[in-house]
Amino acid sequence: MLVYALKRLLWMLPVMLGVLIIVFTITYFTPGDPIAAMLGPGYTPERYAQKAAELGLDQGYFIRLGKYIWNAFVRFDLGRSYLSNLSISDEIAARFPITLCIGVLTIFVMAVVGMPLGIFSAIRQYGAADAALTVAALVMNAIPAFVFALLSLILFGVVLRWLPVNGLGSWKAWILPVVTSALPGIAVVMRMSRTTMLEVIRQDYIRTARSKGLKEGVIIRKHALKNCLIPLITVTGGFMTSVLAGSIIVETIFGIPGLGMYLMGGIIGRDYPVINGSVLLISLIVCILNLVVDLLYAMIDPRIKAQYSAKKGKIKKSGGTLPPVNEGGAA
Amino acid sequence: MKKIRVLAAIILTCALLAGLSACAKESPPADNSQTNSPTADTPSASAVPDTPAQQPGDELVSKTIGVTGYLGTFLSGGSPAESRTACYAVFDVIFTTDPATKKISSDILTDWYWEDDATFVMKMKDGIYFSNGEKATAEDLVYSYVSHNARGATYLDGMGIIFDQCAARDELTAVLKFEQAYLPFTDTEMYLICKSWAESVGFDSDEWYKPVGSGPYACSEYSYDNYIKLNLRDDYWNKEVGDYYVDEWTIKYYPDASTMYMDLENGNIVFCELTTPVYSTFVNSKPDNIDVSLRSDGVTYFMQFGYLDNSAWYDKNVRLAVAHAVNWEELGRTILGDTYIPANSITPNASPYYVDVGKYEFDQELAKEYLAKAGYAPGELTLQTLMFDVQLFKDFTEAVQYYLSQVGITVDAQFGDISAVIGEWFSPGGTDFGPYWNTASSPTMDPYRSIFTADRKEGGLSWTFIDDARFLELFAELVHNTDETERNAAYREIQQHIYDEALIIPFADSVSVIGFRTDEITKEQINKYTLSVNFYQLHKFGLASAWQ
Repeated sequence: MLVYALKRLLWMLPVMLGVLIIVFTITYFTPGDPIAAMLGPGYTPERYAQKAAELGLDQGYFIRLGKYIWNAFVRFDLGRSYLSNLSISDEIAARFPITLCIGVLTIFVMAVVGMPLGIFSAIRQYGAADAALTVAALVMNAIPAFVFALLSLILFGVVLRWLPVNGLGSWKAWILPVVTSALPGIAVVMRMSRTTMLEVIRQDYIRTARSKGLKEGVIIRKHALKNCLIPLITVTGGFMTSVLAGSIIVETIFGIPGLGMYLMGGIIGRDYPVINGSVLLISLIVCILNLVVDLLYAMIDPRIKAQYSAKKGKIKKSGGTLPPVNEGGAA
Repeated sequence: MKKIRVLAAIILTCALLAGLSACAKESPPADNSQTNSPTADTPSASAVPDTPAQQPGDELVSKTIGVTGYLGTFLSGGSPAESRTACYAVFDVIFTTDPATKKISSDILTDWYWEDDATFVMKMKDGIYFSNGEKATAEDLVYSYVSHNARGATYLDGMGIIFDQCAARDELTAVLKFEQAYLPFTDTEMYLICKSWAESVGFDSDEWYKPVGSGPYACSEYSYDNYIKLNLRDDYWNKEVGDYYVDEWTIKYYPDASTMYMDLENGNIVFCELTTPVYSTFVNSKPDNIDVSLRSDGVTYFMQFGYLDNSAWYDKNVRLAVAHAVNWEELGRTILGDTYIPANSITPNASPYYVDVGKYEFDQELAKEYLAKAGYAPGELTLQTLMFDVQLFKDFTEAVQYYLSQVGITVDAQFGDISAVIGEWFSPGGTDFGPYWNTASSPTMDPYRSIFTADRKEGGLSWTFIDDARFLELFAELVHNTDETERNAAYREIQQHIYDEALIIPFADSVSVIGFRTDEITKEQINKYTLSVNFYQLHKFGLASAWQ
């Protein structure tokens, strides 16, 4: 298991290098001129050349790429922003915790709200509650998060004045960004929980548990729930990447000085080092999340843990074979 | 095992809460609740403390204002542009404009004059001190100008300043040398920079986010894309200006103007800019406790003809054809909405230099006649343009495209973002026309400021150059003639000449709309200390007398 995790961590290096090269190349060849954007109307050709030399933008693609890779991977230096002249590593270090907090809270809300509702919907299949929750999930999934964000800003921020509309001055300020980010995820988790639970509660081992006279609550909690978790973890882990990407919109709407707003400013101002640095970090987080999700599978499902161990040769030594993954082993 | 899980959950929860509270501390106070500000519609004198601020026992008076677009820095002429509002509070500005009289004034100079046609003399007040305790001298004053290039600024480009000949004559007298007299340079905001401090830190230093200045406030916190916090200095040199009432200003950045307006409605900020769409929201809803100050920026919007880009503009008949083909009032209303104020001249109606030169009637038959006189049959003249893909530029271009199509002129319009477009604008070709205005506004309402790039054949945007001999002569008078009577005559003539020759087509005043809380401040106060939407004189707003 540990070896597997280490291998995966090592694999991140070439992935990150690939991401860096792709992002650097895209920004390099994107039409637009960061120097023109910085200087604005009224600059002279001499001033342009001076600025280009100052920022190293007068050098060729390979030299710039090589320098960037060296600085990012060896010196852990992502450079300085063209626009603010502040260290990008410092800015990211200050902003990322904010984005991460919003992301973690979003996932938490998604799981805590979405899963129970999905399970409830499944055990009351075709009932009024199931129908109502299905409609609610469709609405939440169909309406983009930014629409929710704007509507909730007007309702809770201006009309009712319960919550602040901008910044992170108090704990109340976290509610709207987190809830609006979580709503589409809640819908997805709810539907996924319902589908998975419906599949699980029709399995033989659930029928066996019922025939043994166990209470329905115990059956769901102790036997069915754990077998629902793997697809839910996949969805939730995947959604974390969406939350990170969606932070650009959410943070801009709510004026939250996180990584998303930083990246947005970099894109608008053609601040290439900011774009590259932010995307690099987001890629790293996505890689780590994928690894965490894979490791969580193993923690929850012993069959997958056995698979990881098998790669080390433990199963081979004992002469055993892997149990079929699709069987309800938890019962 | 179960206990370990519970313990892990508790630790995770604590870590999350700690993270949340740490992140929350990153933001400034979101409201003005810490204030003892007046609460009536008109602030009462009794609410203003009798003693200077920051006296023991005084309650901290904190005010927040909102800005959008960018937060700005303290490095004058750097990139992104400096926050004029914050700079005015932290530095002493060398020349400023009195919003009431529109005249140039200075808080740090006792006198300034042209000694001859190439020498400008500035005499400083004695006893100006920077926040690091150093006394300001003429060396600092000269350095504030000659460091312009070193800090990557472009403000003084094209003004003909001979930087290596600028020097201090004595401790308090600075002399700037020019190739020839250049009057409008006093309109350009330059701040008094502490030479020894600037040289010790360099212009690339992060120290510029908390700079040494001689103004009444010092920056205590700067959070990029978030807020600037300015605190009153208890050792400010200029005690004679009066007691300060506001101890702490927070300039809060909003990525979105609508959200900023919501915070104004909620009372979390005292005043802020209202963009055109937001102003329309205000007009439609008229919320309690909010009013607006709508004033001219001192410059106008006009249609610029790219003489170097398309030789057709050298024919006056073509220019007149366009002038009469477009319904300028409809166009102005379309693109500027409720903030539209018609303009007939390059100076706004409110300017002391304004001359009512007349306007071009919307008459497309007349436009067709002019076009025929120029030798163009319907469909023969095609114009190209490359514009920013932002709303105002797009709306303008598409409206002109529509009107010109009705008189047989084809417009081929393309749009791109600022960084893609601006590089193309430096060489002739591809931009035959466009809307133009001076976004830096004109506090003095001087006609020069509306057309400030019109004489730059090289080193400027190709399509903003006006290639007309008489115009260029008059323009030279505006900027180089130190005789006020002759210059005033040139002000009048250039406005009439532009209209008679249809050199450009002014169509609207550029206006600033500042929304403010009527339970905090009055319109008179707003008008007294604001020059435009990104130009609030916070140091004067901070005075106790400002709130009486």
